[in-house]
Amino acid sequence: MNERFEGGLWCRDVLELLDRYVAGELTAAELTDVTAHVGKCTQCAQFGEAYARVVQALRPEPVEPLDGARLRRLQDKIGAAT
Amino acid sequence: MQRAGTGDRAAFNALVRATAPPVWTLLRRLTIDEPTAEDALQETFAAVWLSAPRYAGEGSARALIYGIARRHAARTWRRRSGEPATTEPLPELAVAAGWGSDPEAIAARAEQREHLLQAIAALPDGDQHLLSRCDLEGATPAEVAAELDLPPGTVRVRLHRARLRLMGALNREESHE
Repeated sequence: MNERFEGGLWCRDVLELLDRYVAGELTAAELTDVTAHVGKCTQCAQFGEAYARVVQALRPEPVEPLDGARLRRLQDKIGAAT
Repeated sequence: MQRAGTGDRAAFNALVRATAPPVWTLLRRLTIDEPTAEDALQETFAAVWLSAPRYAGEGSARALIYGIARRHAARTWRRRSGEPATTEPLPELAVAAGWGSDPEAIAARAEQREHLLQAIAALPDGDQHLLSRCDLEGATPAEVAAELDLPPGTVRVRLHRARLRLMGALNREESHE
């Protein structure tokens, strides 16, 4: 890993903070440092963007309502199986 | 459940018949395979039988049983997979996850649900559990920490590393095609 030291942080420091950065949970001071680092380090900027997209892709899918007929069929099935 | 708590076997059998299917569904989602889920199912209802005498009707019996099932799923997972490593060097994980190469392609792959779920399935049990509970199901690290009897900070660190390993799995899939 060809690390850089920008904004007072090494790349590995940014990687440690990445999940809290994506969750919007960094302190103001941490956010200033990370922003300064990714402003000059293309590799961390690109990786951070990809990590955020992966976290977004992992978000829960909306739950679909179960209609009455389907629920009754389910109850019949369970009744028969137990 | 209160009648089961007095030693009424017939009442307990009725409780099992009523709650085993949803508990089984829950356990199949929280564990890696059917044998693991079955272990947890048997342990869950053994624990329900033992704890029934202390149940005084407060709160929902089903919620209580679900809580027991979640704890047993977590214990079964731990026994099978051991404690996951948390001290892997982060830079190595990140390079495997695309740092310094083409992370955009990995993100694009993650956005295709089929590839995402396939990559999760290739991960160790512990990573799968954390990604399922915290990300796919939306539980907070604090909730999952309580289920696993771990500090919330530990869950966060393990979740972060699980996501990086997921990106590594997506990266490997990408390079194999």
